[in-house]
Parts: sequence; structure tokens; C-alpha cells
Amino acid sequence: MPANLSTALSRIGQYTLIAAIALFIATPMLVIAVFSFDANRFPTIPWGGFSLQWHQAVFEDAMIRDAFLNSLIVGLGTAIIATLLGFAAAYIDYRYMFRGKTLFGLLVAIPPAVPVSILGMAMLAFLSRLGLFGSVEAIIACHVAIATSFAMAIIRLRLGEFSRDLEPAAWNLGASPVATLFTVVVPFCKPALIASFFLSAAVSFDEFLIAWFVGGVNETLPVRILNLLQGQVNPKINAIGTIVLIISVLLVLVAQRFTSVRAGKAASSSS
Amino acid sequence: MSDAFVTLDHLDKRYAGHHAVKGINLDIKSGEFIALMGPSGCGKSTTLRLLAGLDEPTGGDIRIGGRSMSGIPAFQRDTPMVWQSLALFPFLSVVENVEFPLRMKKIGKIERRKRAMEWLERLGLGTMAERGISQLSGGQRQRVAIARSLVTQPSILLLDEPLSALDAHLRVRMQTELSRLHKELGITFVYVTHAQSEAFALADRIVLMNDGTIQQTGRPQDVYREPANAFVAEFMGMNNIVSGNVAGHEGTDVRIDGPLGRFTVPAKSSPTSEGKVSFVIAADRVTLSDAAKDGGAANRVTGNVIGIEFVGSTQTIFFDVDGQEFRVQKQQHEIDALDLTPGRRFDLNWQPQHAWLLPQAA
Amino acid sequence: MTDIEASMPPVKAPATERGLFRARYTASPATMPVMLGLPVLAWQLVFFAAPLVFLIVVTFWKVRSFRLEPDFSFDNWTKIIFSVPFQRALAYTGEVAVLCTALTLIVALPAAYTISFRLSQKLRDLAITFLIVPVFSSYMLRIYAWQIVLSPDGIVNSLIRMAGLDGLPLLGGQFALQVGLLTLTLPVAILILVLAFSGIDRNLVEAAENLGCRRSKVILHVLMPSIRNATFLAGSTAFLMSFGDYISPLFMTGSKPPTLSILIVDTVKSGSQWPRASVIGVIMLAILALVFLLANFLGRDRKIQAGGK
Repeated sequence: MPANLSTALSRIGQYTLIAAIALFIATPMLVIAVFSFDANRFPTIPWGGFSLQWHQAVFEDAMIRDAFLNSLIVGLGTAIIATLLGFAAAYIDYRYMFRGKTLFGLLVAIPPAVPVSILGMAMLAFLSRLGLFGSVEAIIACHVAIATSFAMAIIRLRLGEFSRDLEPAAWNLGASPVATLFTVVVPFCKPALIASFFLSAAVSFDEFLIAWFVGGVNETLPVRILNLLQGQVNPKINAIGTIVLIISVLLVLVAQRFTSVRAGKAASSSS
Repeated sequence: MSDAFVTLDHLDKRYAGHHAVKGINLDIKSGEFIALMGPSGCGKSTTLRLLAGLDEPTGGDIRIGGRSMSGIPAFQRDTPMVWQSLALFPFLSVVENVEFPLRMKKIGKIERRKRAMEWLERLGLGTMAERGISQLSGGQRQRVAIARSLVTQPSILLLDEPLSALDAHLRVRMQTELSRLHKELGITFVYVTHAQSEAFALADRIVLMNDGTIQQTGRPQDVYREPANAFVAEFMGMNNIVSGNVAGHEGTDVRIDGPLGRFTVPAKSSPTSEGKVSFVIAADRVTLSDAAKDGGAANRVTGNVIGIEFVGSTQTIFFDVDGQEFRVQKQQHEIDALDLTPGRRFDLNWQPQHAWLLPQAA
Repeated sequence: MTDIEASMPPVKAPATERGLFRARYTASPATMPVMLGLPVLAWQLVFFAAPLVFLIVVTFWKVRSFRLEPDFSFDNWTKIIFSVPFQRALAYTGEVAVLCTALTLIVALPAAYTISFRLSQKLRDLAITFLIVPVFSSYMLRIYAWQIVLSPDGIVNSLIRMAGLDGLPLLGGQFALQVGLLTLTLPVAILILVLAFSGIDRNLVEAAENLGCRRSKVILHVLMPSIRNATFLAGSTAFLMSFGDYISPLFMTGSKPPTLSILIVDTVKSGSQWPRASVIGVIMLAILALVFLLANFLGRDRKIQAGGK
């Protein structure tokens, strides 16, 4: 086979693969969004006509409203605390050398790698001993333990670009170390702080198994959806799903907008 | 001692496995422009950081204005520094950068804006106030860094190789500017550099350091003409060092016998001596003459041209004198008539009074 | 010189270097790192480490009349390890995770290569966004969507019937389960590999091509060794995610046969058998830790050899 032809075929194969993956990722999201406007009870083809009745039903459902409110509180609380803790962890990692630093880093970094089914069970078992379960606060506490990992990663990445001279320069100009932290380090990290705020909110907004374990009767939105899904086919699901999907995609997009992660500077420099 | 504004008293700094500054003593007068020089790793930057309080000394003391700095953290010292990296805050505008030290002193918004603008205008940056740091050229950034350090009207300014990132043309202009500022403000400047040209152009006095110790302090031309030891002579660059044994004394002169010949050197620097000694002859003090002509005079060596280096109208001719490299510095017009093809032989002569006997190592 | 040396005060080691926290430069009070670090440390200890440690402790406890009681017995361990449902679930979960890891790598490697070397800067950024978004958004909903698409009366089958053919039993088997798991693992794996590819010096690739290397040889001898670590990381991450996942088995196969995660939730739900569920959890964690260490070891081992050549 001539080289040109084989190259062309390989290129076509590669682009087809990318298109197929894009379709694979987009399909479920599109299905949810499109069928939330379908008048049929069961989402299938043919399309049953445009309708807003399921969206309306969602807004009238008190349980969903409560769950949404819970999710909002949990997401906000998680975002604030995880960003604060993530900043502290990232700054300590950037700035200090101490014994047990690796262990400290692992303690912050590992939680997302533990399957949530196990983590949820362990958290419930432990927190119920402390009498801390079954509350919105308990969900926030557990979500923070996971989201801090992402917050730290994003902020540490930003601190990697922080010149080692800037802090001493600030001291030299009359700023105490604490003042330096707030007038120099925090402003420098601002984009990363915003990114980690939104990403932590997205992580929390998306998490259902831990929330289900430790939340007790306090359902967050994903838990409500999980409970709906395990019941009968309910066309409201597509409508909530669309709302949840839009919110979480927006949160991630905003977060990504503020991170410095780009598709590799090295790869782009020569092209 | 009494009129010293800054005193380094047996100042010592050890890091883990590295003795950076070895108990140095130095007095700096108020209003003096001091250049700390030396090769990289000689301890000059560490000394500056100790002055600013960015590092804690492991021994000795620093006194500024008679007050011991021991235990006083950097942010309470008022020893502003211009950094090699400039260390401007990228998230602040030009004027906000200059305002920063005033903000830290809790000076009101209107007052600090006014004072920052005064400094920006003084340095010709009045129209750049609202710009971001990334929108400035290298020279403009340099000025912002200087304005930021001077806005609090300190009595001392520390500069850590501030011009090393600039191109040659800009560097000379900034030198002039720094010199003017120093004269206008009348405050003490402590300037760290490894570039001789900057130290010579700016400093009242240079302090030459090596391996954590001070090798010599003095006016630039004195250090250049009368180096205290072989290290200083070599560091100052355009010097030729000749070694030999003391063969006798003639009044105030010493006669020296060495592998390169017989030389007469004035003994004013050290009233010695016996045994092995070295003396220095500056490259611009050497005259050239054709080796064909006979001459049995002292203070002459013969060598072959190796090559020529041109720096502007100044030329450095390198000679091989019995395996030792000799440098001779001449203006272009002085050597127009000479044929300096590599391999040509020349006599290298100098006046006895221009040779400088190095003090003997203890 | 000697004068100075003689009068030099005795050098004492700087206090800051002796302490637990050693600042990279001084002039910062030692209280600051502690003030900053303690909340993080405390939070992660209480809400992450302690629950996991307690999980291990609980495996030795007993349940008497629906209440947990401290004990030191290996009962739970022997009961679980020798129970047939557990053994079946372990084998099945492992099999599913291995298959998923293989599928993920087979798709992710060429995809990451194409994204890194064949797309324009703009498209590449878009692709990265397209991969990051699903990692953090509504996995459960997307699995539910697959359920709708693949169900007996779902979209795919409706299309097949419209074409005049019989519907396929898509839901409930390994196929559906892998579709669900790939939804989870594929974006993460591709992202890891794209980041690794972007770290490769393009000049290296071009130099190899200039030397007459064919593209396939460049990939084999230049690119693959450089992303060896990332490949192991992507693989072990895919294994971890698919091994512990709860949602895909629940919706795509209706928990039949059950995976270990399903078994855990069921064991907790029905009859508060916490200690036994904990045993399953601890075993899963041990397996995941082993897989990660092994992947790390394999990824690193070769690098040292290559460096030694």
C-alpha cells in the first residue's frame, strides 16, 4: 500500500475515533436535555411533542425544592471551606519543608481516589459514633474532605508560578508575614481560588453516595434523583437532570476558565 | 567607627553545609555609595539579605544608625531593596506597586496616591501609572522597582544586581539615573554587583568579597591599581601577575628574580621581604616595542602575539610569555602602526613605579 | 584575617532549622505554618483518615441485637472470605475492572495521541474542556441516560425496529456495564495521557523523523517510552474507578450479578451488618492499594533502566 494512502487512512481513522468519543461523551447529556422537553412519559423515539410540563412539575415538587436548597447549602459550604483549606495546604506545600510533608500531602490528595461506596460507609460508621451524622453539616464536612484535594491541586499549580522573591520583597517593603499572605499571596492566587471554589462546588453538587450515607433524611438533589431513579420511571427525572446538568457544567466551565491548565504549552510551541 | 551609619560587626552566616559569610567587619558612612563585589557565591548577596533582615545571621551583629538589627524582622527595618528579578507584584498596577509600602504603613489613600505619583513623575513614568506591570518595558519596570523602594524616603537603599537583566545600552542609562538619584537624595546606597564597570561607574567605595570574606575595600581606582592580593588582582581583570624571588633591595625598591626575568618593583605596599613574591603590572601600563631591537633593561619581557580582542576603541592584545599569558591594553590609534599578526615577537616594557608588589600571604 | 577569625563568636545553628517547620526563607513566625496547617490536618484526620481507620477496627467488632459492640474477633473476616457470594462478586468485579481498564487504554491511547498531535491548538483546548466537564458533572445522570438509550424500548432499539429488525437485549449485560464504566473512565484516562503527551518535547519527535524514523517507529520508540508512567497511571486510575463504581452496575445490569460496591451497600442496608461490609471495604482498599503500588513500581522500574543505559 502506498505510504500516502496508508497515512490518509490512518488520519481518517484517528479523526473518526475522536468524533466517536465526542459522540459517546455528548450523547447522555443531550438525551437528558432533549427528552426533558418530551411530552411522553417514557423517553424514546418517536418524540412525543414539545412540552414544559415536566419542568413545571419539578418546580412544584416540594421535596425537589428542599433537596435543591440542601444542595445549594452543601455546595456553597463545601466550596468555601474546601477553598480555604486547599489554599492553606497548597501554601504550606509551596513554602515549607517539614518532617511528614509527604504524609500531609497524601492525607489531602488521596480522598478522591477512595471509592465513595467505601468512604461513605466508613464516614457514616465513624460520624454516627460521634453523633455527627444525619445533618447537612455532616455532608459538608465529608464533601470538604474530598474537594480539598482538587482545591489544593489547582492552587498549588498557580503557586508554582509564584516567584520566590515576591514574599521577601513584600516583607522588605514593610509587610508582616501575615499581611504578605493577604496582600500578596492571596491576590496572586485569586484566579486559582475562584477556580477551586467553583470546582469544589461542582464536586459537592455532583456527589450522591456520601450524601446519601451521612445525610440521613436531608436529601441533596443528586440523592433525590437517585431515590427517584430507584422508583418507577418518572419523567420529572429528565427535567431535574437538565437543571442539574446545566448547573454542574456551568460550574466546571467557570472553574476551568480560571485555571492555567491549557492543552500543553510544550506541544503548542512548535506548531 | 563613630561616623559609621551602617556597621557590620563580625557578621557571620552559615547554612547547612555552607559557610556563606565568615565574620566580616565593615563600616559604611551615611550617604556613601558602596558596591559589594565578587564572584558568584562569594557572600555578597547573602550580606545584602542579612542587611535587609531576609536572612538571620548566625553570628555577629548589624547596626544601622547605631541601632542593633538583631531580632528585628525584615518588615520593621526600612531597608528597601531593588531585586535582581525586580519582584514587582504582577497583580497590581504600576502606581499600586509604588503605593504598596505606603499601604503597609497605613498611610491614607489620597496621601499615598499623591506620593506614589510624585515618584512616578520624578522617574518619568507619570503616564504609565494605571498600566499593568506586563505592559512595561524592561527599563520602565526597573524604574517602578526603584520608585517603590524610595517612596518611603528611606535612609538606605539596597540594590541586588539591579541592572543585570538589562541590555548594555539601557544599563548605562540606568547607571546615570542611579548616580543622579544618589546625589539628589544623599542617602546610603549598598549595591551588589559582579560587574566591575557598574561598580567603577557608581561607587564611592568598593568592597571586594571572596569565599565569605572581605578581600579589600577602597576607592575603585585604588583597588584596581593597588590590589591587596592575587585574588583581587585577578578579579579586577586587566592585570598581569609576575612571580619571583627577592634578590635584593635598592633603596625603596625590591629586585626580583623570576623565570620571566629580572625586575625592579617599588616596595611601598609592603616593607618586606625575603623569598617568593608576586607583583602586578596593569595591562594598560605596558608599552610594546619590536623584539628585534636589543635592550637589556629591567622590567621587560618578550612574548609572541596570541590574539587580539576588540572592545570599542580599546584593544586587548594577548601574548604568550614563556607559557604565561600577558595582556596588554591599548587604544586603537596607539597600535595602528604595529603588525600584530599572531606569532610576532614583541618586547613588553613598563615603568618600575607602575608595578605593584602584592603583600605576601601570611 | 586571622584576627577576625579568632574573634569570631561561636557559631550556633539557626533555631529555625531545628524546628519541625523549616521555612525556605526565614523572617516568618513559626506560628503561621501551624495556624495554616492545623485546620487542614485536623479536618482530613477527622473526616477522612479516622473513618478509614475505624473501618478497619469495625471489622473485628460484633453485632449483637442490631447494635455494634467492640470485640476482637476474626469472625467477620472468615465469614466474608469463605462466603461464596463474596468470592463470586470479587471475581466478577475484578474481571469487569480488568476488562474496563483494557478497553479504556485501547481507546484512550490513540485518542490522546490524535488530540495531542493532530488537532489544532484551538480544537485541542476545546477537546480538553470537553473531557474535563464530564469528569466533574453528573455521572449518575449520564448513566441514567445510557439506561434510557439502551433499554428494551429505548432509543437504540426504536431505531433498530424502525429499520425493520428485532430489538436487541442491550441492557443488563457486560456490554451495557462497560458502556457505563467507560463513561466514567475514558475522559480521565484521555486527560492524563494528553497531559503526558503535551510534556514531550516536539523537537525530539521531529528529530527522530528527520533521522528517517517512520511515524509508527517514532510512536513505538520515542512516544510510548516517554508516556510509560502516564499510561500506568491512566490504567490504574481506570481500574480504581471501575473496581469501586456503584452506579453503573446498579443501573446498567440491575445489580445482577452484584459487584463488591453493590454488596457493601446491600450489606449495610439490609440488617446493619456493618462489620462484614467493612471487611469487604477493607479488602477492596487493599486490592486498590496493591494495584496502585504495582503500577507505580512497573512505571518507575523501566525509567531507571532507561536512565542507566
